[in-house]
Amino acid sequence: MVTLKHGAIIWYREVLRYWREKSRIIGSLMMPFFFLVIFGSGLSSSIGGMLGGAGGMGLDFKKFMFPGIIGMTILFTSISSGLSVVRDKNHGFLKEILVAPVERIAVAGGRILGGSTVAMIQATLLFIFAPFVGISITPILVLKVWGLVLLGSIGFTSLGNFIGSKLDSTEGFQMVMNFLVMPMFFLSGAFFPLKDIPIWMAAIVRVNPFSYLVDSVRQIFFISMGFTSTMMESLPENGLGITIFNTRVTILMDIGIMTFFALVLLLFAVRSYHQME
Amino acid sequence: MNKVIEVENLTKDYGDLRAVDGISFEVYRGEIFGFLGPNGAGKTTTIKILTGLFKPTAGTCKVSGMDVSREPMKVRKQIGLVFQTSSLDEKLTGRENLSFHSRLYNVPRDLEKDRIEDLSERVGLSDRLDERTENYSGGMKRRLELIRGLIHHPKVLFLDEPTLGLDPQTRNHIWDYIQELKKEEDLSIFLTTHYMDEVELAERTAVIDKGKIIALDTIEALKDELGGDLVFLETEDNEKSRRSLEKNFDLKVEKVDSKLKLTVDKGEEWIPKLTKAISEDIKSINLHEPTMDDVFLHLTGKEIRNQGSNDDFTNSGGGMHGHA
Ligand SMILES: Nc1ncnc2c1ncn2[C@@H]1O[C@H](COP(=O)(O)OP(=O)(O)OP(=O)(O)O)[C@@H](O)[C@H]1O
Ligand SMILES: [Mg+2]
Repeated sequence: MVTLKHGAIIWYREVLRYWREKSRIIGSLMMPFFFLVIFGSGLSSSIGGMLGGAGGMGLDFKKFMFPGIIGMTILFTSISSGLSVVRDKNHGFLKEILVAPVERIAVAGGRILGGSTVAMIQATLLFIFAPFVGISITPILVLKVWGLVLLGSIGFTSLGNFIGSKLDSTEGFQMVMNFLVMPMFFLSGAFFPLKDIPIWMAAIVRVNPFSYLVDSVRQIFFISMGFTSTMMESLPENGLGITIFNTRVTILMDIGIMTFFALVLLLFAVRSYHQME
Repeated sequence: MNKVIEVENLTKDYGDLRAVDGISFEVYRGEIFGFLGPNGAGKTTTIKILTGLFKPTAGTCKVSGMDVSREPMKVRKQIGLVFQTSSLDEKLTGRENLSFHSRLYNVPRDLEKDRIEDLSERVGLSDRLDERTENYSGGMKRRLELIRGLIHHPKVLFLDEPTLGLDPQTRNHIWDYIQELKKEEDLSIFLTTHYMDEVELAERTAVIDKGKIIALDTIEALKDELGGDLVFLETEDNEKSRRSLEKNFDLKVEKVDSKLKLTVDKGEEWIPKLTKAISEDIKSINLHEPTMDDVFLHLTGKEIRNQGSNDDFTNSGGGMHGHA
């Protein structure tokens, strides 16, 4: 009970700090916006052809990108929560938490859920771009997307917190962003259709947990756009889905794989908080 | 149970470096215990072990009779800690920092409110409490941290150089407050410092150097061991003054540069006596009370090592310095 309360107060601080930095909230919407405007509009004609048969399903590059951009926001915001661990270390505030009579599981849980909440809010804000993209939003769609991005953000904030707990400098964390998060983003199918890609790349895409978040969110969007099951079946041929051993990865399989990743990463994060001195 | 802290053979290694080397001591209920030592002596490391932040390499330590490694949660409820370096959330207001702390230590809400009012009043922070701490001055931050460490009514308060980097006025302010706390029973204070005058408040003081306790006594006893205060005197005719002083008192008078150096007990009482005894015009007279430098020189036979720090140790009440 006390542990839950402690988790809640630590969660509250994370969210409060986010709320305090309103400029960051606006700023973080700029990147998705530019992606949609520049890539979505500029590249739609040249890349539209790549979408192949899917083009015939009323799909253009903006609609293709939108789920990927929601995923991107979840990925970046979640992992960045690890940066706040490094900052708290540098500003000494982490000591204040670690020396308090608080179970480490409450520290880990509060921070991870706090980071996830922030990521969820950021992702939800993206729905204001939906009319521009030409996607109609229903409450059911939003709820489904929330479920998926919650799962994804718990996994990625865990990863961020795990990395943050091991690092002492924000520069170090920036390196991680460049060498881990950017490849995760680009090699996931969020940015371009996974068609005719080299085998090594296809392999990376399949072990990349982020791919499954993008894939599941995209499938939810396609279904809501009225894709029939035959159309859904044919998505991987057009580079719009993932296959493992020639089996199409369904939403349920995405959820299973994401849950697995999330649990493993969560375990690592909690353990790293226990080891923290 | 009169001992609030019991430390036995405590050792801490950081890789090859032995930061704390088999120290043992006890702190009694209601006392201020001074922990005096130069940079890198192992003061902060000792505090981090006593508060359960670090695991010791060897040895045991108990707080309120409980082993810190075995029952860290119970020990943590009983202690308050003011870190050497700032540990505030600068994006939160003073009140929010205090409130966050209270929640982590399970202070009931109604008490929390009263205590925040009361404590901030006592250190003069009431009217700035709703500002973000990033706007606070160093002294305000320090005061906030101090009352934060007290808000859950700890049994033992650890103060790691609480007046570091503060101006004399703020230092006095904080010291007055600590003295007030001392009057309240049941609170024991473990205080680290570089400064001799700061352990004057302490019942007992341990002098630590290179991870070892090299002396543990009252500060008066430590100073007495040095043989007293130094008086530096400069007159129109030093030689003549020296002769009359040696004739009148049983004193050892040395000549140092342009000054006369006298080693006396209770220097402040000697100054009037000296001025009466010499007829020459006095150019300057200075009292130098022993500083940590002197204690160190005496205990270890060497000057304090200046480990890459720009801290000065010349913080004696006396004023005259640089005689070495
Ligand atoms: N986390 C650490 N890792 C490695 N070495 C450390 C660590 N913390 C302290 N040390 C080393 O241990 C020794 C004792 O450090 P400590 O911080 O306990 O000294 P201190 O007495 O508090 O000094 P100061 O007066 O400068 O605060 C120093 O040589 C220091 O470099
Ligand atoms: Mg220190």
